Amino acid sequence: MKRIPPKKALLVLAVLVFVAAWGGLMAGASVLGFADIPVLLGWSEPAPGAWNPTIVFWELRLPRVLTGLLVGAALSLSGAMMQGLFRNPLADPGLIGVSSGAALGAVAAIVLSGPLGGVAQARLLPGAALVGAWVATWIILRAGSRHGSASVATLLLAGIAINAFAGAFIGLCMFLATDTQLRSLNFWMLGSLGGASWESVALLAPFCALLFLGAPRMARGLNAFSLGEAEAGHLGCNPEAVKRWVIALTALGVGGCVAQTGMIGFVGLVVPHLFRITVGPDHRWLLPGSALLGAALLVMADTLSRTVAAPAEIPIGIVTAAVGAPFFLALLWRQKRKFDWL
Amino acid sequence: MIQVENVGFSVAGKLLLQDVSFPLRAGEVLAVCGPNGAGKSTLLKCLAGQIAPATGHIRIHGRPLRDYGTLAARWRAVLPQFGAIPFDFTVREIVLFGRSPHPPGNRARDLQIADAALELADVSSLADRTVTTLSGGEMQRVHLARVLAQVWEPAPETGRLLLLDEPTSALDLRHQHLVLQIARHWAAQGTAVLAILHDLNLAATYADTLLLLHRGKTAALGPPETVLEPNVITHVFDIPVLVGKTPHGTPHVFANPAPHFIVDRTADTLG
Repeated sequence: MKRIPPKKALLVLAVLVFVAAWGGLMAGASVLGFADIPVLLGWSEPAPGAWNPTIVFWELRLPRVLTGLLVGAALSLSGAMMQGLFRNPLADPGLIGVSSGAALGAVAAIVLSGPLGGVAQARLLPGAALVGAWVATWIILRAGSRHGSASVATLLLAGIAINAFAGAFIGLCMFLATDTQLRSLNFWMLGSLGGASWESVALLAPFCALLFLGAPRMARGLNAFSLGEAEAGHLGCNPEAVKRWVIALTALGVGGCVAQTGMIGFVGLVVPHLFRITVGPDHRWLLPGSALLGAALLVMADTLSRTVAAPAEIPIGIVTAAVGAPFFLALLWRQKRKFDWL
Repeated sequence: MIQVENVGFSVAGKLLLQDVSFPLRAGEVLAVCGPNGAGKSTLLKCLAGQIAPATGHIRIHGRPLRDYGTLAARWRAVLPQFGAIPFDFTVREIVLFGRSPHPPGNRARDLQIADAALELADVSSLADRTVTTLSGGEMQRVHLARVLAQVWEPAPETGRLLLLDEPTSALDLRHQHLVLQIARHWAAQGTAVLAILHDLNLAATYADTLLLLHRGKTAALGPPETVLEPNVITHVFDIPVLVGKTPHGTPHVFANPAPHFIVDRTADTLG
């Protein structure tokens, strides 16, 4: 297949992000249009007797779309970096247990910080999720890598173990939880942007900012890593430094996201792969490209999840898994034929 | 000028390398030979800066190798033994990675060097192919082109160092000779070349110096004519050999096992 030139691809993706965001802002249980813009911006009063969309737009949709953009970008970017680090195109924060590590951290924080009350808890969550994600990534790196590259079998087995452990813990919490707590715990398992608010955007932004600033500096190192860990060293990279930074950055990204939106699977797997097959695997383009594509696709998936059964909402994790899981199987099938050593 | 002095290395109490010393001069091709597990790759990793010798020193122009840090990638290139790549990079992209240790900014020059390196390694016809579609031998030559691109230009302060780990292992007869002739060509331009080779006759044909390792120690060091003595080789490789001469006068080793010699002996010990 002919590849798309990277700069052109990034331009197209930037436009796609705007289109997706526009769609997300306008679509929903009540559909908005160009005609509503003067009202939304406060230039004119809504027609007498007509429904006023201002609150829905500013307090619900805008923070929700912003959260979707940030989470989509951060998860895809984390997935792309993780795949580069593990030298395996099948690594995904959800599949290999990094997301459940983060969820485990978050749920533990909820249980342990119960007496502190709501606000303190909300502030504590991202930190706890980050630690969970970081520990999970570290375990996988220690357990799953041989000669600096992780075989798909060990990656997935380590992921199964971590997912099972986190599942057991979260299940225990569900067993002990009250009905209201149960609903919020359920949210961790399926993932949803339904809780998005300006506060969640504010809690997400610093994590994403660090990730977006740090990731481009990893591009050269990750390119060298695709030749192998020792080979990266021979090309003048410090492999240990690349590892440490990529783990820290992906833990930031996944931890920050999971704390706000729960586990949204398969984004980190599908998005970098789509970019690789259409544009190429060079991390200098793959990292920004995955961020843009992920942002656009997640907002689209969220828009779909809240319009398809409106006024009810399907958890977005179900949408991404329904699309992502068959994609993953197809990928596995293709990989199996392509490289024996995976 | 590279000085390897009494280098030793051990892992988990097992001595992999012990008291190995030799000079490696600019313009010299040094072949490292020896049985599996003799310490050849460990020695190469020490020179590649991948592991630090537990004992002894490696000096370049009198300075310890580690002083050069990651900038050493501008004058030292390492051809790996296995080079599977998990992503669909094109061959040209991989060869361009060889330019990544150098200061960026001259993209046109880097592309020119990459294409010349591809040509030299006889893989220019594969330039736009993705690396996941290549055969083992093609992949090995792509990696060769990459390391050549890495040390394409002279490095006046340190000189260049080319480390080749079994560079001919996946190659056909013609390409085996091509690779070693390239090594000779680089040496002629003042590069120090160290190559791990299993084929003693290729080593005899192209190396100035032969280092024979046996159980981590130096079994013999010197020009091929002196190192390739039948009793030395028989001792190191545990197989009878005859040493003759090629029409060009270089030594040529013929393995000369009695029929079924090796298998019979193993069968004996098994009872």
